Amino acid sequence: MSHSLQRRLARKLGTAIVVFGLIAALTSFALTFEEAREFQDDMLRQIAVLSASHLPDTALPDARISDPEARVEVFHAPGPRLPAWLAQDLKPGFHTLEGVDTEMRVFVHRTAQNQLTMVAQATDARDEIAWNSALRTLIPLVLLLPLLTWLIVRLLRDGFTPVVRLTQRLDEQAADRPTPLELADVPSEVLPFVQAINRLLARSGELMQQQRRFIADAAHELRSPLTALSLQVQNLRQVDSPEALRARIEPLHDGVERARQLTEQLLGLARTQAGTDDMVTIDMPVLARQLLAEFLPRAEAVGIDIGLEENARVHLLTAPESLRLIISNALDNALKYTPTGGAVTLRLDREGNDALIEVIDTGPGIPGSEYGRVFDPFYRVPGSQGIGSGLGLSIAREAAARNGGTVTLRAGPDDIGLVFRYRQTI
Amino acid sequence: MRILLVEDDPMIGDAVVTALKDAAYAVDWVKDGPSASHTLDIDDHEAVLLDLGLPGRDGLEVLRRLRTAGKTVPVIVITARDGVEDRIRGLDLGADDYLVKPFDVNELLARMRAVIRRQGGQASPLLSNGRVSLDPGTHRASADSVEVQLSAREFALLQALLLRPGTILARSELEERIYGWNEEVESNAVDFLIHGVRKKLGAAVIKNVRGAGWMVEKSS
Repeated sequence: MSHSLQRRLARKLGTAIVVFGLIAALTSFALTFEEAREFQDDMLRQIAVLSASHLPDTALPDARISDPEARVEVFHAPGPRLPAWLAQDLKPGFHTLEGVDTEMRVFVHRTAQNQLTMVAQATDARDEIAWNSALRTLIPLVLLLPLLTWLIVRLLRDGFTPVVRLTQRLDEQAADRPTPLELADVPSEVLPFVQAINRLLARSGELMQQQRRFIADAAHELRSPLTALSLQVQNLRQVDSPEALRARIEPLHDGVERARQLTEQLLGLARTQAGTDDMVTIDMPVLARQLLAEFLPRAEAVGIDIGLEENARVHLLTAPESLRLIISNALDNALKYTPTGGAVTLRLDREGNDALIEVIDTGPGIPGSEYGRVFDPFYRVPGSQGIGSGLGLSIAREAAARNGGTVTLRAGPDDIGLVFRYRQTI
Repeated sequence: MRILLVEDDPMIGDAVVTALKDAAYAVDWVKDGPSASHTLDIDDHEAVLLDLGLPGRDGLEVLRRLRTAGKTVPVIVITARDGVEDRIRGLDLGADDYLVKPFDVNELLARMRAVIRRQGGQASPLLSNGRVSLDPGTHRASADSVEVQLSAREFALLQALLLRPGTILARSELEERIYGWNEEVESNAVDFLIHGVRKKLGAAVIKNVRGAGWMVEKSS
């Protein structure tokens, strides 16, 4: 079965027209054929009546009149030249008799003088005439059939032109900047479909825009660590004493570390967006202890008290890599911005059917007006201290969305520090 | 020679400051737009290195304000924005040069020398009053057919004097042009440098005006 709607319609309509056309042709043929015969019978009767009324009082010696073209013969009885196959005692009316070498149709008329007038005609002649006239009625139908078929194909093609044109316009679109289709001459049957396509185009256009912005930002952001690195390396060249050299290697090391972190984060974001992680049930207290152990050396190095507050033992069905990414980005931020002597707490809790994972710090916090923007890729709160790419929170949000969870920020207790919260339904 | 660096990235800022100090510039460093505008309002610098993506106020806005205020200090934009349109906007708003990150330190220094030279109305790369000439690229100075290599500070001192031949510069003015904000200046540091230059090029090269300061002669 073809998938082309146009061809399917053409085939169905064509078949219907041919079938009904044939039925109509056969019926009309049969009717005309029958009518032609009746007409000829009428003719025989009229000839008989006419011929009887013009009969001379004295019977002609040769009572036979014949017309070779129509093959109609008139006989009178009693008469001398009656053919043998024509019996004398035929009743008035129509008869079909076996003639000399062919079948004959005969009409018998009895006059008032009790004479018989018989009009005979060969049935094959009659049939030929009836056949011919029946055939003639078929001519318009036979001409009409191909004409109708052609018309259907043509009309269908015309009808589908707007759809074909839409297809062309879609094909001509540049993939990187889709534009909505014109709705002006779209038939109402396909309008909802085209509108849905337009909505899809708008969505993918938006996504494309986002990606483009992200790539532009990433390119911009990649330049900063690279600039720092190139300057730091060139600064090394300017000194000769080993002490001065050592002093300048330290920032170079930081520069390399910064480039490494940015690369890791970009890869992490790409991996999260690709979403290849499988869902697994995670024992949260176990994961929390693993992560704290990872961050402990760093916390100790900067003099921050890092700890766990376990208010509920939560098992979570989640993508483990994404969850790790969310919590480690939060812990990383907390350690980065909390001053020496502060505290960073990982808190596990439960609220109804939701698991809550919070990272609470005693750092400078973020102004409430910035809560919305800090999740944008590469955005950094103005005046942020320390080295950062501005990617951490946007990675966390992306990873949270993959897990069907949400990340939010709020001020800590007594307006001190920041609370990062991940919420996911258990 | 005193330079204002406007850069919000601490790592890049640090590295640029180090590189500029190595090249005998006194560097003041601010990290956001409003402080940049404020510093430019009250302080005199020989050149400004301006990043564009700044917190508080965009670099281009800082530049626009500076030029609107009628200040002619040379500005080199250093930025990661590499679009042609960004460059055009920067130059049209009054930047003297535009350098895209990541850049080479030597290129930055060469461009700084060029804009500072043009600012002084000079086409030749050599600073000279007819008697003493100084090559800002190599820090070599010559006077009376003696050619010597100067230290970074000595260079900065002689450059400050040669940029205004015939003008007496007070001790404080010289200190300001040789040292940045955070550098400690010994009370006799300028005398020490003058002594060094005179020893290398001859005592007559720098004139001392008692109680007023120092100068180099204007070319006759």
